[in-house]
Amino acid sequence: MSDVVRQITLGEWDERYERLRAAGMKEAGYGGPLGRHVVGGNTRLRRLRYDSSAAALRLWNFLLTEERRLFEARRAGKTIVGAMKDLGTVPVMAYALPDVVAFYPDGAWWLPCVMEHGAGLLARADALGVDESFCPVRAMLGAFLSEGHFPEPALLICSAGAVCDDFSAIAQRLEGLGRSILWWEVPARRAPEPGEPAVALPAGFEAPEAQAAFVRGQLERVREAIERAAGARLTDDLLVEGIRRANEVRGLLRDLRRVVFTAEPCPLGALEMLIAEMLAIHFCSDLPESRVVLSGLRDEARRRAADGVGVLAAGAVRVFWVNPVADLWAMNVLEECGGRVCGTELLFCHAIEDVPEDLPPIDALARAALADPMVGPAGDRAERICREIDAFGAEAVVVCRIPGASHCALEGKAIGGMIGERLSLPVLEVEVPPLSDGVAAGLRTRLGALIELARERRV
Amino acid sequence: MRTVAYTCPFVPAEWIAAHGLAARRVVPALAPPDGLLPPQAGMCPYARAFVNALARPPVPDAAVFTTVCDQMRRAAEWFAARSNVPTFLMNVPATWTSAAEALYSAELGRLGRFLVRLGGNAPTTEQLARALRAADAARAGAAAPAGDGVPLALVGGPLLAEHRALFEQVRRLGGRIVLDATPGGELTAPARVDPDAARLDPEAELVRIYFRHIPHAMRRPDDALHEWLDRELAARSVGGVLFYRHLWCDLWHAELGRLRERTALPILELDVGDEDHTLARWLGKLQAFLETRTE
Repeated sequence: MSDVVRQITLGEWDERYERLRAAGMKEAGYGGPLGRHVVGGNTRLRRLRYDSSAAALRLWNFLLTEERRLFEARRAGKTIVGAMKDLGTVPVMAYALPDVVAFYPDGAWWLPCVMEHGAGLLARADALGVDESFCPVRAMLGAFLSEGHFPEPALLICSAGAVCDDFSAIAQRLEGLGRSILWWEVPARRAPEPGEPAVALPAGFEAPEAQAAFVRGQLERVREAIERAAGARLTDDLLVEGIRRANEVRGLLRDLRRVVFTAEPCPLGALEMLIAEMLAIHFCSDLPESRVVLSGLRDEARRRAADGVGVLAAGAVRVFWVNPVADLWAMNVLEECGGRVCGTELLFCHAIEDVPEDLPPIDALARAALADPMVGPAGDRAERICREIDAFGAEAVVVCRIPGASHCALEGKAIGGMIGERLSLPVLEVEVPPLSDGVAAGLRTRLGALIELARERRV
Repeated sequence: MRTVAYTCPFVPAEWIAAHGLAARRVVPALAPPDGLLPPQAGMCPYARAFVNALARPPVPDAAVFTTVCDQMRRAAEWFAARSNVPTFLMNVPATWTSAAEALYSAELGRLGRFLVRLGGNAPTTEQLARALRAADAARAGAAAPAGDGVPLALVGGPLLAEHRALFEQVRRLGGRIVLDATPGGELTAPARVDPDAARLDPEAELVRIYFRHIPHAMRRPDDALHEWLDRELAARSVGGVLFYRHLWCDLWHAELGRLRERTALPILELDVGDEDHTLARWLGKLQAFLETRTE
């Protein structure tokens, strides 16, 4: 299936789909030609350029059928849990029970992009007083009100405390509209004081034991809420097994990142990598299938790396990308400018690290939650980014500001400052709205200048 | 006496005073563009003004920030990295659980150790009880302004120093602000001290009057804020609401929609950017708002 290694348009994909089917390609139940998703309103797909592999096709179909699969899960009697904000911890707990499906309504933040505002979600948020001064995750409000993008969850769980104010305020607005939310709290992570008992966190940082104990208590509340909603005991044994299965997915993703970010030429494009990384946070509502999808991508990337083939020309500038981008197309634009993504920090790196398996499960999950880059100081986040830049050999850094996001005002400066100081790499801040066509010329110019500068530094 | 500066209403001044240090609540003025923290896209003007006020003389001996909002949390990190002033970031939990209350209490303990390192003395039970009683007595004297103007409530984020003039401006235009529901105003005033509780366990009483009592846009859930507003707006026969918010302050901004749904009162939005030093921009709309309330 990997005979053609290149990036293709949606139209080309549909032609290629027929050829692959004729050649005997096996698909999952949610499979089909990509073009059908445009009919469903995902018009932004027409703008993108895609990897031409069957593995990538499966990835896209998995992503773009999530809404449908969630409605099917509810019809099948599963308990639907809406986890909000923590990006990686609550779903591990929820999926430990066999008849529970967890997803992040936060994911609606890409709908204005993918549907090119066709669903009117941001307009609905506007009408509730949540305007463009908030992060695009405000689309979640519109998605809840429209009732068409995901089934009403039986349980909504949202992290509070050291989270971004945009999300906290938007979730509170949702609660004010009548949704019941279980709030659990994560305190701002701080360094242990001299002599204060400390625990190690998955990301290589430390936190005071008192903070870990606090989060353990909060996660026990989450456990009880899931048990009540599901009508089943969520035992430690089930959690241990749930953590093991989540770690399998995380391990696959780390393998994929390692291959793609280090091989030359680039074996898989930034767009598919962005989607693949997102699978880590809630497994795109189907944990076993997310494993299959990631295995397929990893195997494809390994084959290409071994064969020395890639989707981009050799010599592309190696760029480390910070923060998720509101318009998927921007990843194509970076590559058209001569860059490739070699490392990312998309605000959920704690969902890529293994949850410790040698600790009582709630303790392990508490430590994973405390490792969230949003929970800690920007300096810690910058430190981790510097380590990854070193590991993947990036030559330049893009800090992608999220429009309206409360943490972006100072965080980008802090991260850029540390990278400049320690690694002397060029750092560029860009802000990308959900549809960036209006700023495309400026975006290309800025990214192009970064790439050019990085190339000059090779000499 | 060494001075400890803060601005957040969840920082108990009496806790600092009980340690033998001077607590100075900073109500910053809008920051000039050339301060320690220059204007940034997306930056809350109040958080920026607070950082820059700390960096200007008289520079305090220490600064206390809190985690009540994302911007202040990150501003603390910015300030600590660029200033020689010892900086303490106090974790103020958002939720109302007993565990959150215990965390707030533990944070007071951690703040206390910071104050001792700064040269303060850990207070005895009696010293703390005395500080609580003194602060309570000082707060007890405040009363809503009397007069004939249209009674208005001021609701929203913390006022910048130059915007304290809003009270007088409203009075001149024929209104009067009878309810200050901003941080620093009545909204975030601690509960009255119970003298017996203060004598027996002043630390627990401190936690009660601050953390268990104060409603705020950052609390989750925020029902207590709206219940407090419902009660006070009715009790003072408020005829209109001035909603004051800093650009990029998501917490207060998102409360506006819910407030509109809960009250039939007319609401005038006053937004504050980084360059809004005077009230002139609001004069016309304030005047029109008050005229419609008078007719």
